[in-house]
Amino acid sequence: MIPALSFIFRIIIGGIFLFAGLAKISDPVRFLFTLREFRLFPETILPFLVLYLPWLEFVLGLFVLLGLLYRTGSLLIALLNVIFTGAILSVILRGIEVDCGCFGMLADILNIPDLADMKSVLRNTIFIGMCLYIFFVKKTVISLEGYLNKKNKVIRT
Amino acid sequence: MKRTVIEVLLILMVSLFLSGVYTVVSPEGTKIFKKAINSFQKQNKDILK
Repeated sequence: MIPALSFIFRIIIGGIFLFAGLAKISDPVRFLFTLREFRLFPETILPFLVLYLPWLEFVLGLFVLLGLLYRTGSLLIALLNVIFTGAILSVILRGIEVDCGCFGMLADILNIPDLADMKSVLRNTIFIGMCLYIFFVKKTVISLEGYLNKKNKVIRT
Repeated sequence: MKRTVIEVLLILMVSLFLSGVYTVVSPEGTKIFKKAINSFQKQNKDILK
């Protein structure tokens, strides 16, 4: 039951991060404007963040989904979500109404609400919980890492 | 612990490599990167001279 749940969480978290990353990669200008609206980062750092962050999300999502370095990947996703939640909370406390930019153009296509509000804070908290579950419950099913480990054992014996 | 740190670095490097390739290959990425470099140079004129 526990490894199966870890696998389900991996599919959910990995899939969400993979597609969220892809959506931001396909429209970097929109992501740049969204990040600018947060008024958190200096103008010189913003473009570098816009170019790097979506790829980090994409790689983390892919790794967690495939089950390759998935424990470290889920820990990094949890850390990213803590940072995102902090940014959203700061926007709420300052009374600025912005899109959270979490899903980029995917939010328009799927008609998902993408505002930086308490709902997105709650969603991120659930994601953090799922990631920590994957990290602390060391067992999972159907993972590339498990397959490679098995193969190595067969070769050694 | 040591393994986790190495894995974190590996993930960060893979994404850095992919974002670098994207920046070079895609016109939008190149445009954003050039703008970033220009604004960085403008803001740090005194230091760079």
